[in-house]
Amino acid sequence: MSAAASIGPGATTAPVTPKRGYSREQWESKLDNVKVSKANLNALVMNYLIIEGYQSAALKFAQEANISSSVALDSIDDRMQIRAAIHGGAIQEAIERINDLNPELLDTNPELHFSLLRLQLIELIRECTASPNGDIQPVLSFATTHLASRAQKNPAFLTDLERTMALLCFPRDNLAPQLAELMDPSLRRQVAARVNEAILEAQGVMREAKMRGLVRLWGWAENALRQEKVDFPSLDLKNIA
Amino acid sequence: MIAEDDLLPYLRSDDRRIQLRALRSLKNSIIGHSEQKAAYLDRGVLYELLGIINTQEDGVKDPMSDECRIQAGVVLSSFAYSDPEISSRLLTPATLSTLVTTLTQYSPPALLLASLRTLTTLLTLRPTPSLVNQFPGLATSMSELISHYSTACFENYARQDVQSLTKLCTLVPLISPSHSSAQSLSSELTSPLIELVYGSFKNSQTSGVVFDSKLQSTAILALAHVLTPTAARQIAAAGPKFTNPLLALLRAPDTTTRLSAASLLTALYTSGKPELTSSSGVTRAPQITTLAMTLVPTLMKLLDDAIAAGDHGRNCDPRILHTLAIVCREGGDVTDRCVEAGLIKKIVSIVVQVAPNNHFASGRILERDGKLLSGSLLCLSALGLYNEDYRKAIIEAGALGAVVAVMNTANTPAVREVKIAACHVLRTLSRSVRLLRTTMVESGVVCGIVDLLGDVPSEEERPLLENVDTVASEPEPMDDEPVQTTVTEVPAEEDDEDEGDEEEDLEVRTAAMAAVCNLVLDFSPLRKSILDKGILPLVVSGARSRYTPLRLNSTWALKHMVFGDDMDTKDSVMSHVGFPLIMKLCEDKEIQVQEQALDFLRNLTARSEKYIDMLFDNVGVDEVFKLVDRKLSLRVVPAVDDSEQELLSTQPYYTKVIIAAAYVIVHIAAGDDRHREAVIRNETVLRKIVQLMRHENYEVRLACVWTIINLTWVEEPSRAPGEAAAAQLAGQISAGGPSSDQSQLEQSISSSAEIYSSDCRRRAMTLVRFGAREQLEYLKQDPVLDVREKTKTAIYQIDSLGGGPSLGAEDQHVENIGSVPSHGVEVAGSAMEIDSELHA
Repeated sequence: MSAAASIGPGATTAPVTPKRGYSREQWESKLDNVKVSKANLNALVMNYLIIEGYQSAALKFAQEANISSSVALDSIDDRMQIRAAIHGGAIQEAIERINDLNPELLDTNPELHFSLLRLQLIELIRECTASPNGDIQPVLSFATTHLASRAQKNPAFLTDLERTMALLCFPRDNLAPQLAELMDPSLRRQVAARVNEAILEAQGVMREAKMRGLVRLWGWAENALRQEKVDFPSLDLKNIA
Repeated sequence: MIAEDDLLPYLRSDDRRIQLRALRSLKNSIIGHSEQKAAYLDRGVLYELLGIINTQEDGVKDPMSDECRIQAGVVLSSFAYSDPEISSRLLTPATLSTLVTTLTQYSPPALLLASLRTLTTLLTLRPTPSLVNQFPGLATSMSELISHYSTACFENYARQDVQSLTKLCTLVPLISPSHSSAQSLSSELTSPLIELVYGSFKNSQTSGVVFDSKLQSTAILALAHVLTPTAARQIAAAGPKFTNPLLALLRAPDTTTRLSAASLLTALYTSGKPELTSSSGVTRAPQITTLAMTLVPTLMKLLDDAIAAGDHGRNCDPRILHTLAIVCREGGDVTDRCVEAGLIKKIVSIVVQVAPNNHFASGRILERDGKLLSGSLLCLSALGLYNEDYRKAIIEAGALGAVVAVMNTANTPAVREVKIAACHVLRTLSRSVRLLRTTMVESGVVCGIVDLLGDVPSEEERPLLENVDTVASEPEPMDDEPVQTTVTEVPAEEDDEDEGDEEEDLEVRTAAMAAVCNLVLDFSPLRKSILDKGILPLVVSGARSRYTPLRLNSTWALKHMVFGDDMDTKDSVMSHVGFPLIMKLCEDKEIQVQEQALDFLRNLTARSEKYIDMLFDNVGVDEVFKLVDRKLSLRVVPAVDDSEQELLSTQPYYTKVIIAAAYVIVHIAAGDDRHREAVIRNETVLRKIVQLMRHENYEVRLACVWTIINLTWVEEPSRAPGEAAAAQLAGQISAGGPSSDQSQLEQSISSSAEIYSSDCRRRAMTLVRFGAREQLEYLKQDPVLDVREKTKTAIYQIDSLGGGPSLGAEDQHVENIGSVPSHGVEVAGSAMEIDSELHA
C-alpha cells in the first residue's frame, strides 16, 4: 500500500533528454527523493477505504492515524446494505433504504430511479416466468403504474422498457443476447454500482478512489517515458498488492 | 405496509406508531413519483403534513412524536422536488412559516435538514420576496444555526451536520434575493460565515483532508452574498491567510468551487477597495488590480466552458455572469481585458439565444433562464458603463432587440429580475449621447420603462400618489401657506416596519428610474414621448418614496427634466412637483439625494428669472438663502463608528452639495436687479461665498468667482435695460442665438441706466468690503486655468467699478479686456451628469 502511495510526483519529473536510462537503484533513489507528506498519504489511504466501502478498516485506520475523516463513515454501512439488497434482487428494500439514507436521491435523479424500477420489473418478470403458470398481472400493473408514464416522457426510457417487456414473450432459456443481458446478475451489479456512486456524489465525494486515478496517471507517465525512449524499471502492480 | 390509497386517514391517527408507519409508506410511495404527489396534494395532504410538523411537544420529549415530525418533513421535502406546477402549490404562507419555525437548534436535526431541503428547493424554483423581511427572527436563527453546525462539523465530521450546514449556506442568498435584504443579513451572518470559510481552509491544511468541497463553495458564495464594504475591509485586513487559500481555489478541480472563490474575491475586490487612495488603507489599489486580473482568466474560462458545453451556453451558471458583471462594473483595465477576450459577443450570443421574443410566453423554463438572462444583461450594462466604444459594440452585436423584447414582456416575478437588468443596459446605453439620438429612438423602449414605473403602486404608497395628483390639479399649489408648515407637511418618516413585500417592487422601479434619468435630458428625442406617457406623477411619487435608492434616482430624473431651456417641460414639471417636496429633498437624510435636489434648483433657476421668482414666491427669499447658507456650511461630520474609508467615500458628495448650492446663488445672481439685490443683501451667504474661494475643490472656487462676475456685470451702456428688458435679454441669451427682437430692445434704452450702473458699483463695493478682492488676487495663481480666466474677468469688473486696490493692477486690466466674455450670465453651469448610482 505504502509503495503505491509514494508514486505520483516522481513521474512528472521525467527527464527531457532522450535516451537516458535508470537502473533500479537509481530509480528507487530518485523515487525516495520525492517527499510526500504523511498527511497526504493517510488521506489517500483513507479515501480508498471509504470509497471502496471498507468501513471497519476505515474506522481503525482513522483511529490509528488520528485523522478526522472528511466523509461520513457512518454511511458506509448503509451503502453496503443497499448494495447487498440490489445484488440480492430485493429492489423495494433497496429503494426504501435509499429513501431513508438520502431522500433527495431518487427525486433528483430520475435516470437512476428508472433503472431501479426497471430492475424491479425484471425481478417481477423473473418471478413470473420461473413457473409455467406464473401470474403476469403484477408485472403488467407495475409496468403501467410506475414505468409507462416515464417512458412516454423519455425516449431512452421507452426503449429500455420495451426491451424489458419483451422478456415476457420469450422462453427464459432461449433469449437473444440483448435480452439475456437483462436477466444476468451483472445488471444488478451495474445498477448497484451506479447507486453507490450517486450516493457518494451526493455526499460530495468523488466517485472513484483517488488512488485509482494516480495509478492511471503513473501508467500514462510510463508511456510518455517510453516514447521518449527512456529506460527505467516499470511499475508492477503485482508488487504493490 | 399500509395500502397506498388509504394513507390519509392514518396520517390523522392519534396513535403515533400508526401515523409513523403511514408517513413512511407515504414517503416511499411518492419519492420519484410525480403522479402520486399530484394526487396526494389534490386530497389535501399538505395540511396534514404541516399539522404534524407543527406538533408541539408538551414538556416531555417524545421520540415517537419527533420521528413523526421528521418523516412529515421528509415527505414535504419530496413534494418540493416535483414539476414546478406541483411544487409551486406548496408555496403558501402556512408552509413557509411552518418551515421557518423549524429552523432552530431545538428541532430534531433530521427535521431541520428536511426543512432546509424543502426551503432551498422551493426558493430556488420560484423567486420569492425576501424571507428575511417577512420573518424578523430568521437572520438570528440562521446565524445561530450556522455557528452551531460549523462547530459540530469541525469537531466531528458527521454527514448530516455537513448537509445541514451546506443547506443553511445555500439558503442565505435565497432568503435575501434583493441587495438591501442581503446587506441587512450582513451584521448577523458575516462573522459566522467568515469563521466557517476560514475554518474550512485551516481544516484542509492541518488534516490534509480536503474539506467537503460543496460545503466550502456554498459557504464562500453565501459570504460573498452578504459581504458589506466594512466586512470586506476586515477580511482584507486579515491579510493573506484568508486570501491566499481563496486564490488557490481559483484552480480547484470543480467549477462551483472555482466560481465561488472568484465571486468572493470579486466581492472583496469591489467592496473592500477604498474609494480614494489612502495611505492607511489596508488594501492598496495595485494589489487589488492584480487580484482582479487573476479573476478574469478564471471567469472567462468558466464562461467558455459553459458555452462550449453545448446549447449555446444555455446551461451556463448564471453566477458566472453575475460575477463578471461585478468585476466589469469597476471599469478600467479589467473591463478592457474582458472585452479583448470577446466577452461582449459571447454574452450577446447567450442573450439572443435565451431571449427570443416569443420565449416569455411560456413560464416554465423561464425561471432558470431568467437568472441567466439577468446576469448576462447586467454584465453588458457593466461593460458599457465607462466606454463609448463598448456601448457601440453592444449595439452592433445586436443586444438592443433582446432588451426591448424583455422590457415589453408581461410582468411575472421571474421576469422582474430580468427587467431590472434590462433597465441597467438601457441606462448604460443612454450614457451615449450619440446612441441616445440614433439607435435608442425606439418607442418600444419607452413603453416598457413607463410600464415598469407604473406597475400598480403599492397600497402603502397610493395615498401619497393621490395626494400628488390633487396637489397637481390645483392651479397655485402651495400658495399662501406659511413655508415652514408646508415643508413639514409631508409626514416625517417613521422607521418603516415592513417594506418587505414591496421591496423587490421598489428595486424594479429604482432600476427603471435609473434608465429614465438620461432619456429625459433635453437633447434626448425620447424626452417628449416619455413625458407624454404621463411619467411625471410616477417620478414624483418615486421622489416621495421612503426607499432611498428610488428617491435618489427619481430626484435625479427630475433634475434632468428641468435641465435645459425647454420652458414647457419646466412648467409641467413644476406643476407636478411643488416646492415643499424639493425643500424636503434638500434636507434629505441621504447626502446624495440632497445633491440631486440642490442640482434641481440649480437647473431650475438657470437662465430663468421666472423660476427664480417662483422659488422666491413659494419658498420665501429668506428661506432660500437660509437653505443655501446651510448647504454652503456643510461639513462632513463623521459618525462615531465610521471608518476612515467611509468618510472618504461620502466626502465627494458633500462637496457636490456645496457646488450645487453655490450655483443656485450664481443663477440667482444672473437674474434681474431684484434678484441680484437679494443676493447682495444676504451678508451671511456672501461671506460664505468669499470664504469658499479658497475651497480645495476648483468647482467650488469657480462657482464663487461666477457669483462675483454676475453680481458686478454691467450691461453695455447703449443697452442698459430696465427690469423688463433685462428679462428679455436673459431669454435671448438662453435661446442661444440672435433674436429678432433685438431692434426693439435697442429702442428701449431706459433712463434707469445710470441708477443701474450705480447699483453695480454698490454691489462691487460690498463684495470688496467682504474681502472678495483679496481672494481674487489670490486666485490669480490658481492651478486651474478656468478659475484663473474667470478670476481675471471678475477682477476687471470689480476694478472698473472702482473697487481696484492699487494702480499696479491697472495694467493687467487693460490686457484683460479682450478676454471679458460677451455677457456675464453663467451659461454652462447647469447640472447635468449622465449617470446615476447603480443599485444592482
